[in-house]
This record gives sequence, C-alpha cells and structure tokens, in this order.
Amino acid sequence: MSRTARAGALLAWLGALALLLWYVTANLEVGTDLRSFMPPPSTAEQRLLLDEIGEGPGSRLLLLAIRGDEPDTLAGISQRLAAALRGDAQFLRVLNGESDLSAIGAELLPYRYLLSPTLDTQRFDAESLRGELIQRVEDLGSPAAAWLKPLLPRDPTLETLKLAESWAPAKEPARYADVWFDAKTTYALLLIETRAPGFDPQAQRAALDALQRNFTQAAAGSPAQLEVSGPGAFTVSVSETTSAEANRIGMLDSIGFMALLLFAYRRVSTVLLGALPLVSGGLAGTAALALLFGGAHGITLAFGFTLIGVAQDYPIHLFSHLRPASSPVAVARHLWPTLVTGIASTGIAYLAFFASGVTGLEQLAVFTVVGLATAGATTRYALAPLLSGEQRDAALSRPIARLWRRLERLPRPGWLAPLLAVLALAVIGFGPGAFWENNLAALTPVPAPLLERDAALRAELGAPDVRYLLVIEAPDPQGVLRASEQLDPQLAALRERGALGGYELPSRWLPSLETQRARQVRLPDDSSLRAMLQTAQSGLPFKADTFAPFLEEVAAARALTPLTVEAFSDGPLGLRLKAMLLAREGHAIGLVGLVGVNDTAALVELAAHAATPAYLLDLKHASETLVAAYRVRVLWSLSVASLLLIGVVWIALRRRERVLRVLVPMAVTTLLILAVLRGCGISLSLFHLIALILAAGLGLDYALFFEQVEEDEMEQRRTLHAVLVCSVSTFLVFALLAASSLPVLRAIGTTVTLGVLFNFVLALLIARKPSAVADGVHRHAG
Amino acid sequence: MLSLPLCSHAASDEAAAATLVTSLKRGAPATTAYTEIRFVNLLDTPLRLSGTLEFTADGSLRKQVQTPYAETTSIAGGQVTIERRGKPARRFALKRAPELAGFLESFIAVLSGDAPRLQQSYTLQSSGDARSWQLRLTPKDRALAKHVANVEIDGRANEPRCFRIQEADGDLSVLLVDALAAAKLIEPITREALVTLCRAAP
Repeated sequence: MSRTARAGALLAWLGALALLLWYVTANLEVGTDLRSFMPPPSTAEQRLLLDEIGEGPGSRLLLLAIRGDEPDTLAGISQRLAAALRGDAQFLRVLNGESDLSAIGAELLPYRYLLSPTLDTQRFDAESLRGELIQRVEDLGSPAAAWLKPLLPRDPTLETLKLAESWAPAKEPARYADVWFDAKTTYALLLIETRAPGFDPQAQRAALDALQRNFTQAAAGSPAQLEVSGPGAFTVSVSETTSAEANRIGMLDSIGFMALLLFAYRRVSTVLLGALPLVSGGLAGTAALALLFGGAHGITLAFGFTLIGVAQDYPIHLFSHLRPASSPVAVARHLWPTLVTGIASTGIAYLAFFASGVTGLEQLAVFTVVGLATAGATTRYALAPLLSGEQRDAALSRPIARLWRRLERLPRPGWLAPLLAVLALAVIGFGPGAFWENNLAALTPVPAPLLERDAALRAELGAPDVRYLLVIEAPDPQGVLRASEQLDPQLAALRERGALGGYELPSRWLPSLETQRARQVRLPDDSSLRAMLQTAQSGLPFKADTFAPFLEEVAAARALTPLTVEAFSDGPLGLRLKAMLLAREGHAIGLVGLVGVNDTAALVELAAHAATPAYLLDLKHASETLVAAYRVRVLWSLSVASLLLIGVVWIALRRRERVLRVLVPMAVTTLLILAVLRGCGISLSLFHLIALILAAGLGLDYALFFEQVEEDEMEQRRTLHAVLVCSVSTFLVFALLAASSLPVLRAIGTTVTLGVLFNFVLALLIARKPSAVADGVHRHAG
Repeated sequence: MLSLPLCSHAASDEAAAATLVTSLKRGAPATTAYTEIRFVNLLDTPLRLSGTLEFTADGSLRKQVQTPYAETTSIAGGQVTIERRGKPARRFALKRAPELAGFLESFIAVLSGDAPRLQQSYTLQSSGDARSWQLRLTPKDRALAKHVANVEIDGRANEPRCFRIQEADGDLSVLLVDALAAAKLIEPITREALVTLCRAAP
C-alpha cells in the first residue's frame, strides 16, 4: 500500500471509530442499579430485596452532624438547613427535632381525632375534658403559655401536640434550642431520608451536592462544618475513591505500557497504531450493548473492559512477527489461524454467559464477544495493511536470541503438570478461611473510622437498623394498615422488654379506615359536646365562648370521610407513608423500621409466631444468598464455557497431544492461582472469578502461540518476543492493580498477575513441542 | 406618678439607667419568694401563682410554683423544662417562648447588675430617685418586640421588687419579688391596683 493510501485508510478507520463513539454516547445509558446484575430472585426474601425495596428504607437514611460553632449558631443552621431541604423533592423526610406543628399541615388538622390514638383508650366526656381544661389553666400560668395560647381555642385537648409527638422518631436524641443535639451539645443532629436508594452512587451524589449547597447557604458566615454519614454517603465515597484510584493506576498503567511497547518496537507510530484494535473492540462492544440492550450496567462495562484487555495482545503478536522479507499483510495472514483459534474459543466460551439468565452477564458476553472479534478482525484487516514494510525484525534482537537459546535448554518434564495440579488441589482443599466471600461490601469496604462515626451518630439519632426489617404483606394497603395496627402492641411489648429501642409502623402515620371510623364514632355530637364543655368549664376562669372553634371542628370531624391511603399520600406527609407502604399490582407491602435491635432472637421468635402478620427480613442474609445464587450461575456458565472452549480447541488442533499441550498450562495455572489465593487465606469473590477468566484467556493465547511454532528458529524467536511483550505488558498493568489499597482492584490485579506469571512459565515448560529441543540445543551449544 | 420629662436626652437617660442597673448587682446564687399575677385574654380572671425563684451563677433559673399547684420550670442552656407531678416533663426551646426569653434576659441582667447585657436587647429608661425608682425596658429586637411590648421594673434602693412584662397581645404578667411577694392583694386584682402597689412609697 502506498503512503497516501495508508493515510486514507487510517483516516477512514478513525472516522469509523468517531461514528461509533457518537452512536455510543448518544444511545448508551449506563445503569448503576445492582439489580440487573443479579439473578432472578428465588426466595420471598430475595424478591423483596430485588423487586420491591432495593436495599431497604434504612439504606436511604443520611445522618448529619453540624459542628464547629456555638450551640446557638448550630441550632440556627440546623433550622435553616432543614427548612431548605424540606422544599427539595430529593428528600422524603428531613428531621432535626423541631416539633413544628405546621409539619402536620392544615389539611390534616381536621382529621386529628381520627389519626391520634387518644380516643382508643380514653372516653370523650365532661370529666376527661375538665381534666384537660384544668391542665390548660396551668399551662397558661406556665412559660409554655406563649406558644400554647394560639392553639387552645380550637384544640383544648392538645391533640395536635399528641399527634406530632406520635410522629416523632421512635427514640429521640437530646435537644438544645429546639433541635437535636448530641448528649454533650457539641454538634447538631439531623436525620434525612433520600428518595434515591442508598446503592445508587449517581443519585446519592446529587443528593449530597444539594445537601452541601443548602448547608453552605444556611451556614453562611459561620465556620461550622457538615458531616454526612449513612449508606448513601458511603456508596458515594467508596465509588469515588475506587474510580479515583482506578484512574490513577490506569494512568500509570498506560504510561508503563506505552514505554514498554516503545522499548520493544522503537517506533511511536507502531505503538499508537497498536492501540486502535483495542479501542475498536471496546467501542464496537459498547455499541452492540446500546443496540441490543439500549444500555449497559456500569459493572458490565468495568468487567468488560478488563476482559477484552486480552485483545491488546493481538497487535503485539503481529508486530513481533513482522520481518523485512514479507509484507505485514502476509504476516497477519500467516498468524491468523492461531489468532482465530484463540478468539473463537474464548468467544464461544463466553456464549455460556449469554445463557445465564442474568442481564448483566448477558451484556458481558455480548460485549466481550463483539469486542474480541472486532479487535482480532481489525488487527488482521485494518492494522496490518497500515503498517509499512520497513519494520524491525524482532528475531534479530541479541537479547532475544540469547534468551531463546537459554529457554531451549529448559527441560519439559511430563510429570510437572500432574504434580503441580495435585499440590494445588491440596492447598485449595485445605487452605484457611472461608472459600467464598459472600459479602460484596467486603470488596469495597468503608473505612473503619467512618463506620465508627456512623455507629455513634446512629446511636445518638436512634436511626432505624439497616439490617433488620419487619415486612407485612397483604392483598391491599388497608390490609397492611390493619396488620400494622395489630403489630403495634406486640412490638410495644418487645420494646418494654428491651429487645428493641423503638419501631416505626405505617399505621402510626395513617390508621386503617376501620380504626378511623371507630374513633369517629366516639366523638360526641354537637349538643352533647356543648353540654360536656359547659360542665367541664364551670368554676374554671375560661371566658364563656373561648372554645367555640373547638366545637365547630369536632362537629366537622364527625362528618369527615376517613382518610384513604391515596388521600393521605397526596398530603404533606404522603411521601413518608409511601416509603413505608408500597402499593403494588394486586398486593401491598408494609415496611416496619426497627430501631436499636438488641435481641434478634426475640424478633425471630415474634416473626415465627403464627399470629404475627409480618415476617422478619434480614437484608444482610438476603443479599448474601443473592450473591451466592449469582455465583452458582457464574460457575455453571464457567463450566459450560470450559467445555465449549475445549471443544473449539479440539476442532482447531485435532490431535490429542496438541490439545493437551495448549489446555494443560491454562488449567494448571487456574489451579495454581486458586491455590495461592487460598493459601493466603483470601476468600474468593465474583471479581476473582472474572479475573480468572481473563487469566485463562491470556494463557490460551500464550500456549497456542508457543504450540504453533514453526521449525524455523527465527520464527520461534519472533514468537518468543511476542509472548514476552504480551506477558510483560499484562503483568505490568495488573501488578499495579494488585498493589492497590482497594480490595476490589487488588482481587483483579492479584489474580491476573499470578495468571500471567504461571501461564507464561507453564506455556514454556509444557506447551512447546518436545521434538525441537535436543537438536536446537546441540546446534547452538556447539 | 414619677417619670422623666419626655424632652430629656436619651443618651444621658440611658446612662443614668445603666448606672442604676449596675447598682443592683447581687451575688448569685440567689433565691427569692415571688407572687405572679397573669392577666390572660382567654381568661375572665387573672391567674395568681406563688412560689420561689432561684437564680444560679451559671445563669440558669428555676421557678417553683407552690400554690395553687406544684410545678417546676427550669431554664438552662436555651431549653425550658416544665415538670408537674404525675405528668411527663414538657420540654421546649426558650426561643419558642419569646415572652419568657425576654423576661429571663431582663431578670438575669438586672440581678447581676449587667447593664451592657441589658442594653444589647433593650432601650433603657429610668425615672424616680434612689429610694424609689422605675426602669423601663423596650425591646430593640423586632422579633422580641412582636411578643413583648415592654418590661417595667420597680424597686427601692438596690432592690428590684416588681417586674411587669407587658406582652404584645395585651396579656400582662406581674411578678412581685422579695418584700412584695408577701403583699396582701385585694380581690378582684386589677392591673391598676398592681401598678399602684409596685410604685407605692415605703
């Protein structure tokens, strides 16, 4: 190809990549919802976790502490911040201790006797009314008069206050100047519920930004600081630390990788062109996801780009085999069968994931198959024609020649593979610690000091437990409310016994229609109430017509239609109820928050009782069984993938000893990696499994190339050069990841680094044909 | 009735009032008996309560009602706690009771002879002579003025005897302390009669 033709072809390629990039950015939606990466739920617990509630209402809570100024100033900031956040739809609930009567909302005030539990236990009569009025006289003589005065004419029994108190959190923190503070009055406390689930880093980031913005305004002129804790804040911090570290390592990796390729091939243009097949593969894979799924999960993309990293080896094989005597296209054509065997066997193996039934894994399969195929095809049909003929011949490198001779002298013992395999299996079987890591959170751990702060804030605030939850299921929302009312005394008994600190029931916010009607019936009619009031008031200093508004409102309350779930949900406290009462097609679910769980056994016992209309959901257990179920799917897919891979290699190589020479290094390497990890007491996670697949893919390529050597010594040296560059570059990239402080990056890094090392050594010792050895050694030794 | 002519210079008046306040300083802790008469719009007849007031060095105040019923109010750290026998304590922020906050501020500042503190929240006016004087506090802060119209304090020598808190909604609270706490009150009690009592010559 002429120079201009090459330039034109390059431009066309870059143009195609730009088009793909445009298509991808316009059409790809990156999802962050973990649920699409999970298998279909098989238990009621898992179904709730996946389909209904995400990670539970506890995960949507943010705990806030404002510190660094005088308590009075902090209290003012807390009030301004809370007021600002209450106007923001991102937050379902903003609590800072202010028992603000306006929070009840003018719409709900007429319903107070229907919503408040007072009438369940107390009769509405002259005697009880008189008792209340006597207290009101005392109230007027007390400092509380100031804020009670305006309430009294319409609400002499202070039902509004009782209602506000019953809606306060189950266990309240200390107060100073009307807002929550820690016991030592050093920081103001707030409890906030976000609309976004705790595990959604993007939405949580937006909520945190809104929080910080409002805080900056509320705290203008004060040195006060805002501290935010809770699952959502952790999600953001962990995902940002992880991506920051991954980016930093990625940067170092790229520099090291480029330097290595420059050292190996001594040409900037070669190095730059060599990146194009991988870029093409990545873009094509992403475009395929956009086309087939309309979007991709963030994890698919992260795993996918890790897995197609193997494609970077394709141009390296081409470069290392270039020689002056033949054109790059001819070299590519010559290498093609070996490359295709590698690509096809890996690609077909990935098809197993496509049948896994898990959207995330299906996406992963599509992405990798399309990505690898594209990278291979572009190496052969686009990259090779672009290369000029005047290339360095890797075979002429002196160090390579020396290394080749030394390696030729290495023995290729037949007993090595079985011995290593047996040793590895022994270590795998007897290694310390748990085999599997079921807790996904352990891979992206929250720093211990943050967890301690969270526990401290949670204790001060009496925030609901993030692990345990009582769940009510009923055919309709009213059924949930009735069950919730039934649970109230049972949970109250547990609280009395100290088994738990408190609880939050949906019926605490909105009683069932039956309960509301029962309370309504207990309200006296207008003439009886007038008579009662007259009797109650006699001898007390109240002016005669003081309570006229009260008479009017009780009369109105008697005629009200009880509040339905729909009507309440439209009101000011509707969002709160919606978070606890989920109406679904054909059924409804109620969530009962538990605060300060001290005695799990008592809760289990309560839930197990036939008369209890709810069951206990252990979110940790549910998510762990999900991870385990997910892993079972991955392992099945892997087994099928291995069979497919063996089949493809068999078809390509045909002869039993050739097949064994290619597959044994890869299989033994996998066992050795597992043995090293297990020997170090590392529990295996999904990330290890994905990294094992990558390692196996790399091993397959090394073995194929070593196995496929020609009789020609120069060609053997070129193959050695190629595999050396491939393995050193991959080793370099993943060794940096293995040095990461983050377990998830370390898991991938360690596994692949070990894989490269073992695969390279074993490919040398096992994959090469024994026949070539003796001759070669003697010829060169002599 | 004693009062300074309206044309007098505010500055010198303020200074005189400040001097008066400074002379009132007494050591903490201090306990005094009190009688409080509250005129409330909702009620036909005023409420009459008596008990003791305790004022401690850290600026907290304890108000114990003994008759006609028992009730203890503690005000400390911006928080008000009202306790009655057999009832859960009621707690709320001092800020929610601006009338109380206003009274408390004036009461504590006067008892500690802290004129600058008083001047932060109120415009001061004084009248009378050293034997029998009146101090009138008008809120400077608009938020406080919405609830408290003024506080009038009557006293003799270095002893305040009568605090009158005129609330913005027309309610009035008269606090008789020390010698006046035990004064005989003739029913029906009127606002005018109390003013006369407070200002009566010895």
